[in-house]
Amino acid sequence: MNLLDAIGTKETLVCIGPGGVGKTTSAAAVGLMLANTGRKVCVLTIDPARRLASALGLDRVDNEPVLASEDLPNYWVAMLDPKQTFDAMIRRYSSSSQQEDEIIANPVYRNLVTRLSGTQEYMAFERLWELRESQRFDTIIVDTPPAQAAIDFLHAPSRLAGFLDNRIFKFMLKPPPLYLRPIAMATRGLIKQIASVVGAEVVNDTMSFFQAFSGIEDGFRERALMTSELLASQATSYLLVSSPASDALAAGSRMVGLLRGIGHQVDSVLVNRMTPTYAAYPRDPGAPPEAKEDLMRLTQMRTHQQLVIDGWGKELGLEGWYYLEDLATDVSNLAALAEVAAAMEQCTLVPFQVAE
Amino acid sequence: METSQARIVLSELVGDPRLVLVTGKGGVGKSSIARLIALIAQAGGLKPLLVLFDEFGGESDGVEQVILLPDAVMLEYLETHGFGPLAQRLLKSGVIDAVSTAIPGIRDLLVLAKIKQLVKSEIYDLVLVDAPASGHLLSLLSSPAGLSAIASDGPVAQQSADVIDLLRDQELTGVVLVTLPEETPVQETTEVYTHLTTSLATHVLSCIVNRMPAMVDLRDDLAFGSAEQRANYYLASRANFARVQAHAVRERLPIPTFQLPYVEQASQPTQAAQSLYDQTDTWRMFG
Repeated sequence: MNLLDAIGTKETLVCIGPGGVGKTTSAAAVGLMLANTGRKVCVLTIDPARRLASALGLDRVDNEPVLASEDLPNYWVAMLDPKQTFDAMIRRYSSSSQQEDEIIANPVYRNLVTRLSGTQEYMAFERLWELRESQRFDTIIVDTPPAQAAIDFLHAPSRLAGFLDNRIFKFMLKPPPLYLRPIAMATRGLIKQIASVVGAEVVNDTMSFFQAFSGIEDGFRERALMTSELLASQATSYLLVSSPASDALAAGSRMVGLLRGIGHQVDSVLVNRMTPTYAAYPRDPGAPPEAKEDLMRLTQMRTHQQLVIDGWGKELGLEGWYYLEDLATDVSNLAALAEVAAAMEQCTLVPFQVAE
Repeated sequence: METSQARIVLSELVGDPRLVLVTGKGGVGKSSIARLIALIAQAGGLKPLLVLFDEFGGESDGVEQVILLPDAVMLEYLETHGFGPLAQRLLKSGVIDAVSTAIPGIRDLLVLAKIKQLVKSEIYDLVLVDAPASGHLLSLLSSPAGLSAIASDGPVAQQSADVIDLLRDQELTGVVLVTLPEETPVQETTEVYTHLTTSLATHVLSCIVNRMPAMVDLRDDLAFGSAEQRANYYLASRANFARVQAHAVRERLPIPTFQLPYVEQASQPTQAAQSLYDQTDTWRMFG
């Protein structure tokens, strides 16, 4: 089994992993490898840091997919712009331009879009869905933000759907039927009490935000549920990217466990930056002791890394792992990325040696 | 470490603030560095408190620590603000979740307000925050400003104003940036520095370039293509690349920088912090 076989025909590939393991570069290289097989690929980065652009040697990458190079007709890249995506979504679901204006002028909306954490995650799946629906690409590769934020991203669709379903807001938005009036009254009392803590203005803005959203939320919820299904379906594959460091593998295993808990299966793990091994090359009998020691140190590090990785085998619940060796430099242009993609094509599954 | 020496190292690293936020891109070792500073403060006779945001921050090693989980902080706030026993039910019924999803920064604000309370309590000489990765720290720190834009009155507005004051107080508060000698972390650190000092007006104390590989010179006395020659070439290129990156940090940031060695096989922040603490003499400081 090699990595290309494992992920080659998936429609959506989500790269997850802790920070600092080369996740963005790996996502970009996986994309290039698949594009080289003739699939039309888009790499979508959710990470606000401009790592994708710098790995490709580009000045910038925008919300709209662009070709990474004119020589590669199948290789597209995009970086999520939450505000653009959110505004576009409001325009799509608004029933009138008046509703659109009301939403966009609401302070809660402006705050939500421009300043506060969380929007990123909501908009990421919206963008993924848009790109999926446009049918422009055979494979979309999502480069998620590190660890916890990535889990938030994957929870976002169902969380948002649950949020819009919240009965409290239903009561606030529509006059309830007669028999439910007592509950609605109690709800109003509660809202008043919340207002006493957070301030009436915030609550009023929030309520008008929801009122402005009235009618939109159905389309929004439907979309959220469909994205949730898409992420859990067979057409989607998850690739955990890690380094051989034990804390990175620990964080990775936790993410795999959390994903399993919500029904998403992680299929492969790629360990980046393994210390290179030179065991296959002839030895230099005349080498001075320091050079021999350096070689031995590298060999020891490699052996240690393999032991650490095997130790996580059971936890990860996978048959084996793929790896790439450390490059000693950064990937900051397309030529260097092509080398990584070529090395990736050679990645074969290494079975976990699980101690009895 | 002697008390007086620890005081000197501490003052070179962070100066004399009461609140230090340690941040950096994910995976650069910020938890180890936060813990390391706590160890040094303790050796200097001070009483530090380590604030973690993650349940998996590692076991304690004699440094007093507190884990702030947003839900628990929210619960505490509600309980002490007139909701009493009702708070638990509000949290369970999803009302709080709904409100804080509409106003996402509210959780951030309450976490910051809790940190402010710890600083102002005067129980600790130094509150060290093992802060979230830099991208998230920036949105965490921007939340009070975001909220004060939508709430001009009431308790949220007051909390926001107080927290902003604390974050901008150059005497009380500062940020330590942690980075690795690699291109993207260095680039991101420069951007985070600019953002912190300009839009957030928060003081940046120092930058730590963590995990510097040992210096290895390129040799010309090895058989070409042999395992030894390849290993030497790899180690020398890695060391050289790291030095170029560490130099770039010093060039770009007008603050003290420190180069800390790579500590092998330290799988927990506590182990890494202890090793770095034991090797203070191998650190390189650049004022």
